Amino acid sequence: MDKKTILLVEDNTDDEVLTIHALKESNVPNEVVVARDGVEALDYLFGKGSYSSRDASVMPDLILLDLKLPWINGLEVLQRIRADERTKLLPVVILTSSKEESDLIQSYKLGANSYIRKTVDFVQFRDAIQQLGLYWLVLNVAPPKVGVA
Amino acid sequence: MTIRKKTLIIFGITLSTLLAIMYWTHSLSLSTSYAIFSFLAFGVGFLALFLLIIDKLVLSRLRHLSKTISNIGISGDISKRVSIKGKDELSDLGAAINRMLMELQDSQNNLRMSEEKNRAILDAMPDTICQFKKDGTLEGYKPVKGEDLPFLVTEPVGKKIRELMPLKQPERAKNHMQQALQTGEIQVFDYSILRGDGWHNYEARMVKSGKDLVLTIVRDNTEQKQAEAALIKEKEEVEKRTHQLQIYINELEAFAYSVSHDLRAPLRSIDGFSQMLFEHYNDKLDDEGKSYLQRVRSASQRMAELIDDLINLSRVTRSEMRYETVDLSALARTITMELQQSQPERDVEFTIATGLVAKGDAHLLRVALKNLLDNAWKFSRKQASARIKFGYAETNGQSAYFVRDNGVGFDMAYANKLFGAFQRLHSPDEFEGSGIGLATVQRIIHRHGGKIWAESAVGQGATFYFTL
Repeated sequence: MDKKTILLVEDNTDDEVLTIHALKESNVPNEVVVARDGVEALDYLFGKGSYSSRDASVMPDLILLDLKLPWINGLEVLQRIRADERTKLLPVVILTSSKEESDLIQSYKLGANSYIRKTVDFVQFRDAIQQLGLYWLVLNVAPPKVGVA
Repeated sequence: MTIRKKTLIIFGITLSTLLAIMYWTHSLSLSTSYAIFSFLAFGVGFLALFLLIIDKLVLSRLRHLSKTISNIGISGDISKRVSIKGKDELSDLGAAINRMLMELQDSQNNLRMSEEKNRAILDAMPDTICQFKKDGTLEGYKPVKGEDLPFLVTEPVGKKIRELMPLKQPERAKNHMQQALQTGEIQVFDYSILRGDGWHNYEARMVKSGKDLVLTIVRDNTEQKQAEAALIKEKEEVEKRTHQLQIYINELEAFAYSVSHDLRAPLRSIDGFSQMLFEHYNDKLDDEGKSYLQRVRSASQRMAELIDDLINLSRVTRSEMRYETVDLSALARTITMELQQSQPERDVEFTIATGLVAKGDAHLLRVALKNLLDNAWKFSRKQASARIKFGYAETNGQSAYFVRDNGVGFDMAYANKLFGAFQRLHSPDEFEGSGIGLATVQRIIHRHGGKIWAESAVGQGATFYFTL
């Protein structure tokens, strides 16, 4: 099985460690790229800033997006992803602590593919991460690659 | 010339004619003369008698009529009546005159009453009514009883507008007067005069009341203006407070959002790393160490629940109410079914009254009913055969919905603490819970304008009543 790339947009390093750990323990071979804020996430996707040397024609297979991020928040990142031809079809899963109805509605309105709430209970959290990895990277048929490739 | 005189002239003419005839007849034979003379003398006598009768029957009455009417004319007293005796054209004439007089008197009475009414209306009006000539001269006015004149001077008649009000106000007044004369439309403007007790504000309404005349109605609206100013100030104050409150609410929402988001993250770290420690360093930990880690985990999870409950409680107050008809019976059936499925091993008898509907927010009512039924489920778990009932009944003269269980109940001495946030009437080891459930229920019931209260005794079960 090919290694799939996951872009994890997460500013909390603890959550980052826990998420990567959960993914590592799953049976899905994957490589996680971490962006610690919205700007970095967009730089990575579009090959700008510190990622200007990256081959921007290669897109991640899945984006795990936190909502509360410094500078550019998750909803804004999602909006830009959906607004760009190169990234508009990428599967984006919102991974957040927020239970606010407004966040939920906004996320789906802006085109999120899924909305997962991070539980405090780590066992449940790990289950959720592993299931979503299995679902989005293995079971789900990804959209055809678009853009410059 | 009076009628009597005219009659006398006729008589005189007749007499002189008689004398002429006498002169003419003296050339005739004596017997013929005598015959003619006798005839004429008789004629004259008859005429005199006739005149006497005419005078009695007609002329004196006519004189009386004329005198009475002339008296009425002189005195102007139309309450007097003419009296013509008899039953002929003359008495008819008298009656007709009397009718005329009566009608005249009626119409005069009406006119007087209407004038009195108009005067009363004018007197009762809290306005000074003035008449201005085109050139701005005050012709006359009707003041308001007990009030100062709305002018600078106390003798305003004959004065020009520029002498009646201070500063540049007369110019404006004259402009409005011109407008009123040109357009025929009412012109309204305000002006003010400084008096001993401060500035008085007047509202003047000008309307054309004839060629080159302007009727002006002036009212002292100082109090009204002051009240308006006070109201505006108060409104501004309220707006300011509302604005501040909105800021507080926004801050509170941001706080609640932050709590729900930021407080959970460290808890997840505590729980997650405890679990990783437990799993990956299992062989390095003895049983005591493992149990400590379990305690850390359960404490962090409990805190997460507390945070969730708090957020729910604040959301109950923050969320907008959406009123609709809610089938409480159906709601209760769904909730109890979920409870039964969560612990199928428990033997609980549910009795749910049918057809209970209420107007309210479906989501909030579900939260309230779920909390009450959850409690009934929780506190009756030590009963071998638990019974939980949802219904509608009259208690203490009031109809209310109720949720009843036959569980452990509580001591009524602590009933006042029942609905406070974080208040618990059982130890957490005995019954789990955050102590926020009933506080949430109470907020929901209050938001619906209802009441909630409970009746219980230790070991006797509990009944929670609520109205909507």
